[in-house]
Amino acid sequence: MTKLLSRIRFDNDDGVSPERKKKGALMALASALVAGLGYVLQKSFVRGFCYMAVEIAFILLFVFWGGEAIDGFATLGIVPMQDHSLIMMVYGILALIILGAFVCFWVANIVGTYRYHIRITDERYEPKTGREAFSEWLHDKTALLFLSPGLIAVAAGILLPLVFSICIAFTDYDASHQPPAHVLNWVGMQNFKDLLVLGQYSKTFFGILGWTLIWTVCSSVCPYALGILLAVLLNNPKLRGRKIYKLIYILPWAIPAYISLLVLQSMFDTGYGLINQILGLFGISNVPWLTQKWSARFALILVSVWTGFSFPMMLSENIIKNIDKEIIEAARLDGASSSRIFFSITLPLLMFSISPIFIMNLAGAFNNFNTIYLITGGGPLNINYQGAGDTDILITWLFKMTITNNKYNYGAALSLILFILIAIFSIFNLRKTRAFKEDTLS
Amino acid sequence: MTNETVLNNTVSEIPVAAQKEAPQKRQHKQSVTDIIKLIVTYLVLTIVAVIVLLPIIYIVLMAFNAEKSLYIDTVFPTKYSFDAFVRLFENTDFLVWYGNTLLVGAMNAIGTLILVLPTSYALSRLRFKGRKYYLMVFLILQMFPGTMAMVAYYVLLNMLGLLDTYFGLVVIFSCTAVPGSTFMMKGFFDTIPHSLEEAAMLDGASRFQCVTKIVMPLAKPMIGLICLFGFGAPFGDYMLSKILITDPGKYTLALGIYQSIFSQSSTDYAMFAAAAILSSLPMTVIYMFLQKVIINGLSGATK
Repeated sequence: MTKLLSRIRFDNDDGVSPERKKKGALMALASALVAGLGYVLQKSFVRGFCYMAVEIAFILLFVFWGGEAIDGFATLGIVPMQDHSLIMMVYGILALIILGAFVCFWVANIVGTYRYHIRITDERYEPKTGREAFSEWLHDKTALLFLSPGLIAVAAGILLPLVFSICIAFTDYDASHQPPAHVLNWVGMQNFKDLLVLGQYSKTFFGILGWTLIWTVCSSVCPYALGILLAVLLNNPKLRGRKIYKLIYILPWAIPAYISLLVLQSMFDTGYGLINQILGLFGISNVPWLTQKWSARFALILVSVWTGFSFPMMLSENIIKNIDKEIIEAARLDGASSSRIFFSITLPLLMFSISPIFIMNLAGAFNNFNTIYLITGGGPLNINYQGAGDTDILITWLFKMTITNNKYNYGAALSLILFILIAIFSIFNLRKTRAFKEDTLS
Repeated sequence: MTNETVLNNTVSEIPVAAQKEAPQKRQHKQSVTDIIKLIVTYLVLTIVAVIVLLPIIYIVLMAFNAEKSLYIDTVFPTKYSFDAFVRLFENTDFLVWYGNTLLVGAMNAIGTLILVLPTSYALSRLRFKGRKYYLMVFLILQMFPGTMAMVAYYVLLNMLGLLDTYFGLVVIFSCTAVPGSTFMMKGFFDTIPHSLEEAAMLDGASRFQCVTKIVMPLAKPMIGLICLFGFGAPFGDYMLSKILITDPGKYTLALGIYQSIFSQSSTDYAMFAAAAILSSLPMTVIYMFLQKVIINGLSGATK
């Protein structure tokens, strides 16, 4: 809050006479009434008229379109077949975004007018020609120009859909309310109540949340543990054939996960899958891998290890190779045993370098749709759950709810919950990582 | 440690012969544990290697299986032939899917690059207000899977008439790839020393020339990497493609294999195996060749 206030208090205000301040405030007031008026009064015509043009364009847009769009957003349509609620919602969101942008523009225009006045009344101020002023303005905005492709993509491709799904989370959009045959209604927090508090759905939600957490931790920790172990073993200087081993270990990472998952899925077949055939040779027959709760979960974690250990192995191998040899030599001269060296030097250094990537991997595992969906499809079905199985994680439940059961509103509400969970987790963690700390505004 | 100090303290009192013997003994002892360690190492490494290779060998053998079914009585098939590949090309649109996927991949690689390059350059080289917040937003958004907003994607693309088009698919692939790729690219730009550009500018080069003549050539590995990831996206994505593409003539490989081949794999597993091998081959080969570049790129992004 104080940060915000300090930004509103104008810079270099000290040593400015009250008269200039007053005049500046007057100009700002003029700009507040009609955008750019303050500039025109100070004979900065081009900028002033540009600002006015923006305001006029905005007012026209809102007279002919925007007001109606926002009204439509509020009602979501009245006449079925004629009003399409979803389209009205999208237009409403766009209108609100434009409105927000205009408010920002308006505030910037007021503040800018005031600053401009202070600047030109300074005795050291040298007036610039229009062209100079323009090129200076352009220079100021270069960063924004460069940023714009990415920002537009993120805004249109990620944020708009996200806001849209957040809006759906507060409506009654499902299989029996499909626009344009029906109009949608705002239902407030009802969907969240249904998911989190009431009966069947909340039971399903918390059951799945529990397994999602187990899955997230296990399917990240196990591959990383194996990867680190292999990297350490490969680091043995007496080892021969290191290259061949490495080549083999990289394969699961190089093969597109989609394909290896389908192949592994068929290998877990109870009757004729390769795994049970091999176990059969040892006298263990017909393990029901994917059809029982805990064996299916175990199988999933095995699969996550198979598909996931290569990358951490390669990373840790790289890191171990780059550890300063002198430190280890020094420790050895001091008489440290090799296990001591490993636990006191190699491992901590490794953990330090690998932890940011591991944390990202956690978020990836939390949303690992492909592994669950392609291996078990969420099965075996749990009769106590609402349209979900024992191995479903939140993201696959979300998918099923939306695509199979057409409960779009619950799906959206669930995605909002996921959004909040991930956002909290990632903000909490990323603030700590070095990538962010080191990147100061130097 | 204690042994050694004892040795040092008493060194003058021990006869010369004994002095020579002691280190030898220790060496001998160490080499025994070393050998045991080495054996265990080999054992673990080999077991893991076998487990890794098993599915791969299995699927290759199954692709050349003369019988169609997965349900054979032996662990590995006994008769081999090319029939599965012939069936794959004759009975399915495998080549069409392949072409579609290559097309989508190429479009996506170019699209991602156009969106990512200027943005990451600005984040790395230019200093402006709120830069840290942009970085933060990108970092968080990078963790969002497209699944979360799939209804929104469907409705929006439907409104724009882009459903069932590659353009729509590519827009979503490349937009969702922007935050992550921008971060990788920015990380790489950060490693290119500013002094190079400053020197060139002193020699009269414009900022634009600096970018095209110095920064971009140096950033080639990472540019290649982002292209590769963009290119690979349609090979690995099933879910978004399934929602957005419904026309079987426009299927990508992932979609085609799952919808038309894997769903029938209980009757013709050999054909699925053949499709799996052929479709994973290009990406696998590229990844194997470029592994060093990729690992350096990925670890550099978070450094």
